[in-house]
Amino acid sequence: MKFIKQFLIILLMSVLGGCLNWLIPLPIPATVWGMLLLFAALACGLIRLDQVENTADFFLSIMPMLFIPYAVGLMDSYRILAEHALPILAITVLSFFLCFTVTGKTADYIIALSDRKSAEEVHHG
Amino acid sequence: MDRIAAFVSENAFFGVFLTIGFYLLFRHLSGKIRFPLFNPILLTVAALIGFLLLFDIPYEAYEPSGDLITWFLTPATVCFAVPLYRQLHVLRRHMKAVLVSIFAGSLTSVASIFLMGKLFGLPTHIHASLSPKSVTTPIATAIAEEMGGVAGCTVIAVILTGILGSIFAVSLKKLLRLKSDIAWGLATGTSSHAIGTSAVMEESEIAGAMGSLSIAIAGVMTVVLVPLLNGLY
Repeated sequence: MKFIKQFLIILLMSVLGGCLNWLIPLPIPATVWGMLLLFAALACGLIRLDQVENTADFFLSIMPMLFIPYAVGLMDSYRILAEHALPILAITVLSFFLCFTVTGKTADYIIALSDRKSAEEVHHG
Repeated sequence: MDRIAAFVSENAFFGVFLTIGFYLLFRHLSGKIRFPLFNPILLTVAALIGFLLLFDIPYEAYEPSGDLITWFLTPATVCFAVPLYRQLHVLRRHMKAVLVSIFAGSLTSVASIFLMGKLFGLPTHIHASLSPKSVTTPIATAIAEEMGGVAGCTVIAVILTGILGSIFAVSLKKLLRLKSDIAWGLATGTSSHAIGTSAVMEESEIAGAMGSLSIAIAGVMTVVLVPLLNGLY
């Protein structure tokens, strides 16, 4: 019963996320609203970690598998982009590497900077 | 529809069995062969497409099985809140790094697609379909439709991007010499949303938590950035 109770809480957040998506005219999907709601509920103590943790960890561990049918669907929808296939592929690949590099390097730089600052504070303090 | 296709279509459990079976098989094998392109998601997709083509089964026959599996994506994505909450202290400590790097990454993605689109002379509707491609599927398709793009094209680009993330996230960490798992997770989540994030989650809980956070923040930032830049296209 533990897992089904935890699943019910996760489903409730999904449903409430769907409600927010329906009420608020922004292109923010139900899943992101649901994630923010569950986070908020945990952060303000409305839900305890042990009330969702086991089921959540199970879902996260199988998540890569859940995307597979979408990718299999590409066998049907590739025709949409047949005409522009090469530029689309090039743009998709290059922008991925650029985005990854800029985000990672920026974060690493700021973290190193703040770590050095706090190390100096310790040193001078 | 011939008899095999009808069987697959009426027995959705068969497609689910095949999907999980292939996935576990390739996960087991990729644990032994450590090579980025030997990626369990990529191989399972290739094996399933190969199977359908071999037996002349149209995609519509596999669709009921696929729907059973993807149905779980919504509750599973909601669960990203859990590692995020467990790593709240990391987020508090590195708020500036989180916000600045996700903004820089989202801007890089949208701007580089803008420039390359101009370079290749892509028509406006294709460009509009591609520009939100680094964020999670439901946000990306919503933005694309808002901008006059084709949702199907967006889905293709988003999934391809995610698979790139799941293939290259681990090697890119070494190649770029990223020192912290925080930066690694932010880079993965911002560039390749939930598909990339679920792959790094297996290696590092901090990276997974930062990836989850990036999915939400990069999504919201991209909602604002795409209309701003695409007005100029």
